[in-house]
Amino acid sequence: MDPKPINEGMLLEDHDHGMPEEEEITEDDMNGIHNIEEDTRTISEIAMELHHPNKSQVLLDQERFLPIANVVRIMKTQMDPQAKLAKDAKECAQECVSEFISFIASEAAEICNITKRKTITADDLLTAMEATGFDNYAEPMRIFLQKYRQAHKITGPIHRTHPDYVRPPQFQMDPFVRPLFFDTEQGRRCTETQYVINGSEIVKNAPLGEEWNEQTGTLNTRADGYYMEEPMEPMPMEEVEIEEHEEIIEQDSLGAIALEQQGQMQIYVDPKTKQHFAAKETPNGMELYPLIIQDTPLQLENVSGPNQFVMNMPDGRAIPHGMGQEEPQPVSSSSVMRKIGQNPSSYAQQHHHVSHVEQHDDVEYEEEEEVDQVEEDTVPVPIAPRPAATRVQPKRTPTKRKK
Amino acid sequence: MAWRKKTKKAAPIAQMSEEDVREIEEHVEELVRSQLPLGRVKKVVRMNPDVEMLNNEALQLMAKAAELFIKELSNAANQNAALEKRKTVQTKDIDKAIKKTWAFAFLEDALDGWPKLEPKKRKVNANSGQDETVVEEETIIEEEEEIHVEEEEDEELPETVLEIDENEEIARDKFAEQF
Repeated sequence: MDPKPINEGMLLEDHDHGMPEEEEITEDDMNGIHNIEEDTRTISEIAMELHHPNKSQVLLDQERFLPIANVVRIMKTQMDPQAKLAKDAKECAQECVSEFISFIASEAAEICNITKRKTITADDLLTAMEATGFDNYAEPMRIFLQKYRQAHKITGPIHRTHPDYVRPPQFQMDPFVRPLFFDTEQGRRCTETQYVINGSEIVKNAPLGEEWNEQTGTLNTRADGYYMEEPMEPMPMEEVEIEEHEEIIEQDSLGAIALEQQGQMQIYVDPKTKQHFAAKETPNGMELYPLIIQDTPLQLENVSGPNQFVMNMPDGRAIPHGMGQEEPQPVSSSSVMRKIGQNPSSYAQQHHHVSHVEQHDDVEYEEEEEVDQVEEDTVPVPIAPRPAATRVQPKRTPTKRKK
Repeated sequence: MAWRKKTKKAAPIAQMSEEDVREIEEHVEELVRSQLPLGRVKKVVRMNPDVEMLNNEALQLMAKAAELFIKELSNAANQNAALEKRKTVQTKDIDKAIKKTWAFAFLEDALDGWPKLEPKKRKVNANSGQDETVVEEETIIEEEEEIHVEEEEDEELPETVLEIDENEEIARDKFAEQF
């Protein structure tokens, strides 16, 4: 008898005042839980009395939960095709998933606060999973992160595990995932091609056993410190891979024609590599590209064998078919054409074109650039993205000129 | 001059047919793609007052982790339903899965709001059942199932360790197959 009028009062409040619900949700987590109780009661009562469950459910789902269709689709991959799901079970799973996401996000936020950072990175999420006991998730997620970075040709920091983390037994036999690029005493190293670039020398087929410890999964020289790849340039890098079915002729006009015939071209901006090639081949700009073409697949073919070669080759090609990568393609190809067309021109013009390419890279990774700058806390990030792009450029050009 | 000669002597590039390249590209994209919409995941993450900004990689990683969580939860719930020889998975099965595995301990607080799971509110439903016949039938069915569940709880205790191992092995094998 008593609870009925209370529920009716809550119904009236919910219908009349839609705004206070939103305000309460933005407050503490406890208030959020309290709101969940109210919402579930209103759902059940609306289903009993008013016979309009769809409207309220749609609003609630759009606000707080992931869409039911996607959740159910993933759930049914684990079940028999004949099995069925009750409506209550679907809603319960929906709520559990949102609770899981907020739980891990809050843990990652605490880790960021310890190191005085404001943006949550993938490594923070991995550390949060290790700290909260989700060991079975941390290992696959680390592998996923590695694959994601390979597919999108992104370089990132090496993940530092939580001090209390112990690998679960079923994953002990799996090798640790290596980063794509890292610096060592001998020089800059790439794990896929196993070559080292140190100044003007290139060492091929260099073994990784000395520098990368397989058992502990860390660098021998810098095991203690937190390694960040080139903090001076936080922008993620894009790889240059040009594939040709015909040999490039050194003549300018014919070379330009040969490049036009190639369908897929991508630009990888690695400042050390680029400086090396540009410095060596200043009078002949043509041979900047043939070296990259011949080295990468050659090393993959020799070292890792045909299977891995087949797997790794299309990683570079996958980018032009991606969603966000399609737009900048013609811009980069046009810039490459301009370089070839102006071979006899002076070094200053080539340098200008190099900076021109970087402009497009800035536009391409606009959001990530802001995030990285905030992480460093050295350069203040203005709200407008354009002045940030303009500020980044003048810092790089004088260093190149000095070298 | 010597450096140029070395580059010219390099082996030619192995050529692949276009069909093979397309298949491999699709395979890589499927691995990286996640089935959950990123915008919704971002909204859920930003509901926390502690979280201010989120990296793009972190968003992708969170979506993939949520997928893993859904798969593991539905797998455990499906096992509980199979023990009772039912084809429909219900909230009870999910509740059991949450109580058995310690990794899901943080979810116990999340389900406090559900009225059907609390015994007090069940009594309220029983009282309201006096007025309507349909509700009475539902409550009777639920009570019978509850009794049946209580009897089986003792029998299920020795199997918890095995189930945990099975879940872990299944999760690892499936991911090993994917990669």
